[in-house]
Parts: sequence; C-alpha cells; structure tokens
Amino acid sequence: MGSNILVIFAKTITRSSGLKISAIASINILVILFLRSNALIPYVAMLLSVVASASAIIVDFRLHSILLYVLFVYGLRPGNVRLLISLYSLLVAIVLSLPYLMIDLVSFSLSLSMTFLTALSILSLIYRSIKNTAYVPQI
Amino acid sequence: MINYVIFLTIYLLTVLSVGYAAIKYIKAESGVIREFKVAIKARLARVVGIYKLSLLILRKSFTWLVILATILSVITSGLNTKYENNLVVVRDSSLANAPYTMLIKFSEPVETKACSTLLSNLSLEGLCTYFYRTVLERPYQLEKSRKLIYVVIGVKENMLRDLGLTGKLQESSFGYSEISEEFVRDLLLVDDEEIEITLIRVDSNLLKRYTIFYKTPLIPTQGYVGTEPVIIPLQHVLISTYDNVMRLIGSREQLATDIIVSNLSKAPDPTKTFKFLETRYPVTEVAVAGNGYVAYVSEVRIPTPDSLISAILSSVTASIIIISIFSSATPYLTELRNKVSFMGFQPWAMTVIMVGYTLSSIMFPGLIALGYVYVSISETSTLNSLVTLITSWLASTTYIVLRIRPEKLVTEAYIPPTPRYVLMSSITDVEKIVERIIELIKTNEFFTVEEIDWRIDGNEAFIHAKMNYVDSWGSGIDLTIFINANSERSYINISSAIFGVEEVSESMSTSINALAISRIAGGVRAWEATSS
Repeated sequence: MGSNILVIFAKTITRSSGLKISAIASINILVILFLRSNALIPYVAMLLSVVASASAIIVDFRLHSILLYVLFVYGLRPGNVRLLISLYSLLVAIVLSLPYLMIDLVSFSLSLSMTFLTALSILSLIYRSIKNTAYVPQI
Repeated sequence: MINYVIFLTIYLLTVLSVGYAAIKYIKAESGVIREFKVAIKARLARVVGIYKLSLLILRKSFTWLVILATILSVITSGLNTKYENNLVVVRDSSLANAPYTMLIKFSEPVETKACSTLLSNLSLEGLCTYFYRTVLERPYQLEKSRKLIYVVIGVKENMLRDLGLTGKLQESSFGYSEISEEFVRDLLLVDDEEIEITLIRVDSNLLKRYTIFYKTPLIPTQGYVGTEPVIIPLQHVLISTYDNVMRLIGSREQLATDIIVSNLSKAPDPTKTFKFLETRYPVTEVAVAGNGYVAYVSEVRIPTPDSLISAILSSVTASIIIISIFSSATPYLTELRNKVSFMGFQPWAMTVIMVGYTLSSIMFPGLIALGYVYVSISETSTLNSLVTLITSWLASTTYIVLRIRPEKLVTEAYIPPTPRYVLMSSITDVEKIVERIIELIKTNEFFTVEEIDWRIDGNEAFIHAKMNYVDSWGSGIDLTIFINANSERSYINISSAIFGVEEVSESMSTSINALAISRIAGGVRAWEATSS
C-alpha cells in the first residue's frame, strides 16, 4: 500500500506544473542575484520566491485536490497525508531557495523556511477543504 | 448711451429667441429624447454589468498574489538598475602623433580653479585654457547697429591674436564680425542698462573656422547636420578678453564654461574624469583626443546590459507567477464566461472584463510601485521598472484573453442559402407580369438560361427557370416563381436553389442568389414605377 501511494505521489510530481514553475523562477532569481547591484535585492527577491511558491501550489490546485481526495478515499491516515504534503512543500521550497546558497546559509535557511511555510499553508488549506467537504473539482 | 440700449435690446431679443426655439425643439423632439434615454440606459446597464463582473474577479483572493508579484518584480527591476555614462570613441589617424588634449564642458559657468583641482586629484600634468561661452537667455542689444546679441565669448588674449585682433583689447572693446569699419562706437543695452562699447572688426571666416578642440568650433553650436556642427550666426556673437566679458556679466571671479587641458603628461580616462567632476561641478561632457582617437563621455546615461537582463528576468518571473495563477483560475473564468454569454453579453465583453481586470490588478499597482521607484530609488531606474511592468502586463493579458476565448462556432455541415423573396406589386395583369419576369430572366447578363417554363392559369401563374452562372462553370440557380393576383395587387413569390457540380462556397452561393433575385425584384419595381 505504501509503495502504491509513493507511486501515485511520484506521478503527481511529474505531472505537476508547480515544480517546473519553481525551477524556472529559481533560475531567474539566481541570475537576478548574480547581477545584483543593490543590497536590498536578496530580500525583495526572497519575497518574490515566497509568491512564486504560492503560485507553484495554486497552479496545480486541481491536481492536488484530486490526489488528496484519492489518498483520503484510499484510507491513508491524516498524519501520513500531512507528511506527503510537507514533503511536496519542502521540494518546492528547496528548488526555490537554491539560489540563496550563492549568498550564504542563513539566507538559504530563511528563504527555505518562508517558501516552505507558504507552500505548506496553501496545500493544507486544500486538504482541509477536501476533508471537510469531500469536494473535488471535476476534470 | 443710445448704443448701449440698442445693443442690450438686441442681446435680450436674441436670448429670448434662442430660448423660445430651444423650448419648441425639446417639445417637438421629446419622443426622440425619451427613446435616446432608453437606449443609453440599456447601454449603461451593460457597462455597469461589465464593471461589476470585473469587481467580482478582482475580489478573488488570487488577485493579492498577482498584485504582490507585480509590485515585487517592478521594485526588483528598479533596484537592480545600473547605468553608465554614454561613451563614444571616434578613430582618426590624423591624431596619431598628437599629444593628449582634454575638453571639459559645463552646463553652467564654474570657477577656473576647477582645472587645477582636477589635475591635482587625478595626478595629471597639463596646461589649462579657459573659455567663457554663453548663450544668453535674454539677448543684449546693439542700439546703433540694431542687432541682437545672443552669444558672448571670453577667451585668452593669445587666442584673440589668432583671430586677427592684434594687441590688447581696451576696456569695453569687443570683436564683432558684422561691421564694415575697423572700429565702431555703439551702445550695448544690457538688462535696461546702456553701456558704451567699441566694436572692433573681426574676420568672420577666421571666427567661423576657429576650433578649440577636435572639430569643436569656438562659436557655440545650435545642432548638427550629419557630423557637421551648425553654429550660431555671427551677427549675434560678441567676443572679447576674459576681463571684459567678466565685467560685462558682472562677475568678480574668473568663470569658465569650457576648459581645455592640453599637453597632458599621460592619457586620462574620460569616464573616470567625468565621474570625478560630476560630483563637484555641473559637467556635461568630457572628451579626450590623442593617440589616433577621440573619446567622448557625456551626461547621457544608458542602462548596462546586466541591468536590462535583470529587468527582463524580473518580468519573466512575474509573468510566470501571474500566468500560473491565471492558469489555475481558468475553469472559474470559463464558467463565468459561459454565464456572461447566457446573459446576452457579446464575446468581447469577457475580453473587456479581463483586460480591465489585468489593468486593475497589474497595471495600477505596478504604476504605484513605479512611482515609488521614481521617487525613492532614481529617475533612471524607472525605465527598467517600466520595461518589467509592461512586459508582465502584456504577457499576462495575452495569456488570459487567449485562454478564455470562446470556442469557434464552426459547423461542418454545408447549408446552402435558400432565400425566399416575396414581392408585392400594384400591377394586377398576370400575363404582363409573367412576360416582364421572363424578359428579365433572359436578359440577365450574369446567367445563361438553360431552360425556362411558365404556365398562366387565371389569376395565378408559375415560372420555372434554370440558369447557369457565367463566371463559374458548372454552377447556377434554379428559380421557381409563383404569381398570384387579386383585384388590388399581385404577389410574386420567388424561391431559389443553388446548384453546382462541385461544392459551391457560401460566398459564391450568396452572390449567385443576389444576382438572380435582385434582377427580378429590381426590374419589376422599376417597371411598376415607370408604367403607372
């Protein structure tokens, strides 16, 4: 059962647009940081990463809804669903925060935590709405 | 007094007449005005509807993300702006062995010690020559000569010698090219104060050709035709020694608008020199000539390639974020489009709504961010931010407008146009009508009649005609005409069917139909009008 869930999860990741968007945004931010001429740039770009993490989840809103619904129906424990949600959020956050490794580890960890929390919050909201209403958008 | 009364009477009569006419017009046209108001209200209801739908989308939570992405990308682009002074290098082999010379131009006169400050700070050695060349905002006037003076030039005495003004110029003596005598006494009107001066003739050709630096004339330029400078006409130019000019402008200090540093010990870096000077003086241009080239650095600033890349990447990031948000909102927007369509709105209404939405959620906050960049970062950064804003807006708007565009209503089934045309005529003689129609069919130059049959039965008649279209082989029209008459009028019912050996296009079918039917309808109408 566990392996089946992992396969579904992996397929969701490959089908999602969110990770691709995160990767493109991350490359852009990397170049912007590389060409920076102002000390404020890393902070503003970090906020841009946070917005990008939110949009990376929102773009796959229907996909995530369906996945969480399937997992829910499959009988997965809420704790395990949350673990998967956290894993996906972490993946998005790592991709978006990678450019900050160029600056220092403090900036990286700050960016990682901000983007992770944003992605996690939005995924949790989707999960909560499915759990409460059993609503899943039709494809 | 009589005139006043007459004009007042005429005025009052005119006002009363116009008022009376206006009241009569409104009364007469009140029905029209009411209809107009109804039409306007109906149109306004649509506008209000579009506005309310825009607000509906604007209130969605994803709008906040769109606004944030726009503002952050505009600010990032503005912050990451780097500009450099415009550097132009001109190669000239005639300067191959020439010593280095530098020209510094200022927008306002500066103290002559600027040159020594520059040389000492940049560790250079050279000979400074000063020029005072100013274009007057308020011209002086030569009273006797009746000429206006727009340019006053002050130079060192050795330079005046080069211009043919031998010896030291006396106090209040000025070189002027537009006089025929050697010396002329005149009055110079300076700010309502008359100063007695002596004008000394100067060779206009020498003055015109005299250059202070590489292809830079002594007389200030008005502009350039190609690479050739256009100087101010010499009739408006006075030239004299420094002291005379300083006295004329009322300055106690030695001022210069241009400095030439000649015989420089080493090649100065024009960019570095400009940067040094711009923090201290209102410098507009630094030019260095020597070793086979001339390098100009001006106050015009251009964005660096890095800076432009950064602006483009900021706009790409913002566009990706906004497009992904729009992408997730597409099902909702499509549903909204369908509802709007059911309400009777045209397809363009949704386009208007979405353009209005992007203007409110991207352009409006973007312009506010642009204002912030302009005020708090720099004027020059605004260009970069503007590039980001416009690119993001265009990309996002194009995406969402194309995404929610309704599917085309194209049908695969071919529906030939089969119109029916009913004609009423006051002519009740069926036989005459039939004759006329047959004549019209036979004389139609667009068709050749393949077959034509008719039958008249009392007050009723029937005509059938098969006609081939001359402009297209194998296609034509089959006409069936019923005529029915009573004591008052006759009714002519025309039915048509287009045929073709190949599939006939819709446009061609329409043309064939129109050509056949209009001939009969028009011919009968014209005949009716002329026969009565």
